[in-house]
Amino acid sequence: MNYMNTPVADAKAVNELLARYGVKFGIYKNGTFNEQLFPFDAIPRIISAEDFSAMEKGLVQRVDALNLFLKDIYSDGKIIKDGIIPEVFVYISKGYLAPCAEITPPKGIYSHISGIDLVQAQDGTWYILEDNLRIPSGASYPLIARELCRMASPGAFENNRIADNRNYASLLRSTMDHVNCGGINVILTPGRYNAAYFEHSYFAEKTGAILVQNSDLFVENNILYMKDYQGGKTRVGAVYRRISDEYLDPMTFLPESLIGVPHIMDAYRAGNVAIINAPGNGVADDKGIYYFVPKMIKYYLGEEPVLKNAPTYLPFYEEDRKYVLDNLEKLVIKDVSEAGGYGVVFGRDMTKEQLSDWRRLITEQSRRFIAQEIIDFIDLDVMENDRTVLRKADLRAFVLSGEKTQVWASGLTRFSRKANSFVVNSSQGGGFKDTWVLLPE
Amino acid sequence: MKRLRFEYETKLEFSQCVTGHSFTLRCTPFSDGRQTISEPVCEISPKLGEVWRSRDSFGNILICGRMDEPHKDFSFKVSGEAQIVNSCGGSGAAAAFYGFQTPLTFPGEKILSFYERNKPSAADVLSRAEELSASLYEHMTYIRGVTGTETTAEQAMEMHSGVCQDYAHILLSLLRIEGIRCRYVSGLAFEFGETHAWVEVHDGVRWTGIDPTHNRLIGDRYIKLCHGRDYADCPIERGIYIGNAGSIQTVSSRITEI
Amino acid sequence: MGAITGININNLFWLGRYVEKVFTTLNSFFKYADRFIEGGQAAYEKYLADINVPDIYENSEDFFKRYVFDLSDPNSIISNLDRALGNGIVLREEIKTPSLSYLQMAMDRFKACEGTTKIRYDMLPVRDAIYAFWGSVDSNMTNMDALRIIHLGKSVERADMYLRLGYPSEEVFTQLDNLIKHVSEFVDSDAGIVNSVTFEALKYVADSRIDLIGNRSLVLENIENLIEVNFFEAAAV
Repeated sequence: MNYMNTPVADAKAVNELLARYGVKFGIYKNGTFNEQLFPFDAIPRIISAEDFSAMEKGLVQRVDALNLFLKDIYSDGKIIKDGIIPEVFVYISKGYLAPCAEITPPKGIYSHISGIDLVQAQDGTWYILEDNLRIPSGASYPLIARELCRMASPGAFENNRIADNRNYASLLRSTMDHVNCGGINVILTPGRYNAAYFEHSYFAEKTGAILVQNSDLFVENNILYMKDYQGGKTRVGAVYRRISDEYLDPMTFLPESLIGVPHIMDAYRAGNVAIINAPGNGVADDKGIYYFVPKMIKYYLGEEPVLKNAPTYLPFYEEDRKYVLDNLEKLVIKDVSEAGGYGVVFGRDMTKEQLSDWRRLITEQSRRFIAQEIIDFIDLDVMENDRTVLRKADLRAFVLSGEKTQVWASGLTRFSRKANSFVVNSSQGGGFKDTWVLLPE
Repeated sequence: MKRLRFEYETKLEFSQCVTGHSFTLRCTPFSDGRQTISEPVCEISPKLGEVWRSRDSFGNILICGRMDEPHKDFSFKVSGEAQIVNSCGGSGAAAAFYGFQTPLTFPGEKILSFYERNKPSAADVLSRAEELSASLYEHMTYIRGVTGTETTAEQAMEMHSGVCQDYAHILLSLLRIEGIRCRYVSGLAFEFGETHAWVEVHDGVRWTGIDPTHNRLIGDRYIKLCHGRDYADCPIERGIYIGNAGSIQTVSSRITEI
Repeated sequence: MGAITGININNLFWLGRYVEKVFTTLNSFFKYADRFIEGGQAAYEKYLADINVPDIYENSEDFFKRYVFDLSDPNSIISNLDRALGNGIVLREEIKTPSLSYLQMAMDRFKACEGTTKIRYDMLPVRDAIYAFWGSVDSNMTNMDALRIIHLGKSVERADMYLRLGYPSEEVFTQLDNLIKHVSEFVDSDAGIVNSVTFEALKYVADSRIDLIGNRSLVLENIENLIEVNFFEAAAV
């Protein structure tokens, strides 16, 4: 790929526009809420049509298998009975919710919006880093950035054949419509002080769904309603909820939740409302289950996985544990219960004492961690003070499952703003780029 | 076999008016292989707002409701007739999740070392469960007020005291160390004026109830209201409301032989 | 009526009020600043008393600075703009992104004016952004009921401010007539947000063109109580 010939958007103009359009994310530091701009880098990540077509195939396959897995383990558990996945990995997972057993969501879809994180290794191979099947966020940033880039640097789009990514809202809308059980679509936000509030309100604007908080909703006779200020009620057919499972329904999950909707699980169980994404999905994007996804693809679809997992070891298996303990200094260790770049440590950064502490911890709590080979993923050019520097970056691809499973021809490219750092999360200071998928010649 | 008439009532008195009150009640017993329930009636007071029925994933009957209008008390009363056969509980498969620890039953050092000291010797599941129940009964002292609904099995084991809920949680924890599928049961028992908790053990074919608080198999004097992996899965009553109010709860139950 | 949630109706009403408050306050402040050029000892104390803002300022220099630019002064113009923006942020999907961007722009330009020696000139883009905001809500919003509630807030605030600031009676009556027209649209709906007693009182005031100076506080009270929605902020979680 030749970046030299790539006309680059005017970064200053785009960042100014992002500020003006209120494209922010919230962050809590020392107990206070602050809103930060998400730094935008103007040099796009470019994915060739050929690369994307393979990636697309692999992602559709993966998400289809994950949806089948969720359906299976919340009903018959065939994959366990057939010995593909040890049951302990399913039932000890924090994401497995027994109160969701035997519920079939509308149209049988569990993960409507999947955010799959990938990295590209030096040799060009794409690896899956993790699956996000609960509330993957971030699609709004490249969506609005594209709009602004086209405004600030139309030339870049004139000279390249780039897939238009501005269909995300209509994909989202048709996904909601597909599973809607009769009634309006709403987006349920915990409120203004949520990290992703910009995204919640932007999607509501773009999809025509009504942005609500829990106090706007109530359940009666297992039907979910929205109340308006005149005291009227409107039936809700689909909820794109942006609050996590444990806070979703204080009558079923955490009783102290102040942001949930009492009895929404009863409406869901009765088949009267779709919850997007389905509660209980956490079991499938668990870092321990990740190891088994290629096996799932073979088991459910009878296909060979198109996209590779990063080489992963489960200390739970004796053989793997031995390898991990022997090779800790070159591996990355992930705590299966943490998300968002937290709970990730690199063996190479540890002192001798830390290494032995970690060896003990891994031996004692073998189910809690996974270990992976560090993939030396490619650096991308990033503008820093008017010169380009190389920074690590990943890609979150968004896959929407409605009438069919579709991959959004774009994605969120996040990069580390520190040299040699592999941690790209926005909550840890990362920035983002537009992601261009080139159209076939 | 016994025919029993049961009546169970919980009254909540709030220190001041509350609004926006949502509740879920698992107070309605249902029929299984052991108990046959006829004409259960649940009366809820005050009569404000909507009340409806639902089910949960454990098979319990839920009575759900919402009272938006201000009210200062809340009560529910369930009554009906039960026919109990003095044998095991329902037959049929047990969900796999009943074999795994929950946050309330997760064993720590105390439970693990207790288990090491009291490993059962029998071969069949039910006898092993009875042995564990017997050791536990020896070890524990029934004391009210030292534990609460959020006390874990490990915490209760550390104090080696507690009430029926704690006995049940510890037994569940021990059984799950063995990989035995088992569940927590809330219900009514003949001698008690309140609700009681015990354990059901699955032997691969059917469920059998064990009452670790009294170290015996449950007989025909127990009526089951609901079950789950632990207490948190199946509280008889769960509610949330708006209002800075405390509440006083009184529970009474009466079982008479017909 | 389109579907509007209870939280949104509060925010819409107060969005209209705060945007208008900033605009009217700026205009009156500019008049004050204009008189100040010739060095006349313009009495900011009276100005503050008129708009019911406590005089916490040490001198006119301090007043100039803090009353306009200090976000920690709850009565400052920028604090009111901040509230307008806060209401706007939670209404993005109703008012649409371009409208919200004009409020953000007004805030950014406002902040950039701090320390200026030619405030009326430098603040022109702030006023432009507010004009653009009104143009944007009128042409971009799709929920007409929500739009009418913003305008209701605007007309309440304008009538209130014109009366407070001692605008000529005829101008105040024009605003009162306008307010009554807006309110009438809500009286017959089941929205239940109009206090009918004060509404009747205000209609009487407007119809009989009573003496506004003598009855100033009574009329102000009626305007304040006319619409029964309360501002509350969504709880932090």
